[in-house]
Amino acid sequence: MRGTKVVRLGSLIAVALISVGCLHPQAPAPSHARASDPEDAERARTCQAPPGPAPRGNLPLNTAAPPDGETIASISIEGARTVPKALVGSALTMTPGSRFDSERADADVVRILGLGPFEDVRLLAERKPEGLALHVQLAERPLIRKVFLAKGTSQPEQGEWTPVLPGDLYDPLALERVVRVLERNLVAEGHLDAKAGVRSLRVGDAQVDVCLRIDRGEQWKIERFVFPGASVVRAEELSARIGTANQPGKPYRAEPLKIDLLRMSALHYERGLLQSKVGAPSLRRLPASHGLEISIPVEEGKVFRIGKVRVTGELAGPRASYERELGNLAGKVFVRSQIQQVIERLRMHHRKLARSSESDVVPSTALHEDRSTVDIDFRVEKR
Amino acid sequence: MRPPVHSLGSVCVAIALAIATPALAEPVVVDGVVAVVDGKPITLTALRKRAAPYILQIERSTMAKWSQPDAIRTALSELLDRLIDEVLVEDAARRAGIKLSDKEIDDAIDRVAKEQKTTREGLMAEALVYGMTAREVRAEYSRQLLEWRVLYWTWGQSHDRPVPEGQAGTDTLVAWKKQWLEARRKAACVERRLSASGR
Repeated sequence: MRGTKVVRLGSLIAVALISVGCLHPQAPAPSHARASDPEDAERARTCQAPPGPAPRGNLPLNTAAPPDGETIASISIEGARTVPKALVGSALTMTPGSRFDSERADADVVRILGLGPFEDVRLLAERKPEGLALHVQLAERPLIRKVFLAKGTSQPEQGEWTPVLPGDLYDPLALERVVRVLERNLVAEGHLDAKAGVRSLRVGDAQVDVCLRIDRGEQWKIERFVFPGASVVRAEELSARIGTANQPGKPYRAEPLKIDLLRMSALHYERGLLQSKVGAPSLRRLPASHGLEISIPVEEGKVFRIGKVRVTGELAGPRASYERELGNLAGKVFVRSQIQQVIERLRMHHRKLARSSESDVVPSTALHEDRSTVDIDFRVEKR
Repeated sequence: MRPPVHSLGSVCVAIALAIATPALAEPVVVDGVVAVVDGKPITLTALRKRAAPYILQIERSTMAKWSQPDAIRTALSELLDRLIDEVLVEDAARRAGIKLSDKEIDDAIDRVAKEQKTTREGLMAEALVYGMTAREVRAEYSRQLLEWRVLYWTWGQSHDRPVPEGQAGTDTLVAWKKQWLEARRKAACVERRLSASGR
């Protein structure tokens, strides 16, 4: 009997303990907080939306001919919530009492769309005994409710993009542009394979959620420049013409390099390489170091020497005095900066003689490829 | 008490009156946006205008009247794809600075007339039978010429070799057109608001 009492008491205690949750431990809480589940679900739905603008729904298609020529009895404007109806009314050229003209109506629809705040405009016509009742149905652009980052996407840094924020007006084209600029900026930072995209999901008549996905990819930096074909002008000299924007250790920037290529060409002209060509750069990835080898092909051509030199045109004094300013050019390698100096000396000499600055010295050249020479005519001309 | 009995005559009069009085029709869409391409809207009116010759052909055909609305919807839906492509071509032409002169369009029309062993006036008269005005014919040739120019230009931007001469060149550009338009459609912000069936 005593054992029975103990068992009963034990059962009672067990029931008490179970009821306060001590005897059977509770199942472990899920690894994510329950409060964020709806948010995760929303993120997933938005990020999995099809690419492109959040669809508005199809226009019901009426195959009957438009009611051209019928008298308009009334025009109502519907759907403008925050935009004053008067603004829309001012864009309409159709008026009650006039005859419906589909081209004019179409121009009105396009004009209303051009105002900006509307993502859709529909014109409906209803035949009534008194005439056509036109309904201008408007759908204002929705607002962005939430901006999600897809899994694995980190928030872009300041300066990388123009942030998209909740409360912004939803404009699919503007969003695409933001994303394209972000992609370009990431590429400029050396993330050559960067891809950015946006997905949009309507969550009601007036709201859209947006999901931003960024895949930065690896960052590639300049490791070295090579100049196939460089000979007279050495690779080190060409490298020295590359500005600070494109130095080893930095991301590759195509635009600044274009100016550097011109500076390389100028160097060739200093060495008589008058037919040289500096080609477009090509990139080769070096996977082991995530480095870039930038190859700039060079065609130097022949070194040209100066052939015949003469001074012509409206001289203000003896030709011999001008020719003295030339120095001993004939036979020397053509160096562009030296020719610039000769032009300046001739210009000063002529102005001293003519006592006027009305004239200028204009050089013209004739290349002789067979002899690798260039004849120069320094012509004095009135401006 | 006997229930009232309506005579057959009064019922017939009531029915006749109902038929004679114009019904209050539901509001129907007469214009709206059928697509947006990089922010530029294409309207139903613009689509209908371009589809007019095709609609005329459908209406004049031996097709049963009850099936004509569906055929018109399908024609409109297919033509919308073409209009979307035309917006993409015009955009590319604008960015490339490609413009056509009146003389170039006239010369293109004259070339086609010569190939078809007719005159410019003959071409226009034939088009009129299909409901196309001279202005619309000219606009169509202008679009086709612009498209060809844009395709040449975009080929040059993407390839080291020129377009081959002759039929090989035509075949090359036809294939390039498909490839280029597919890429442009993906890159552009295109929203279509007309279903494939037109419903």
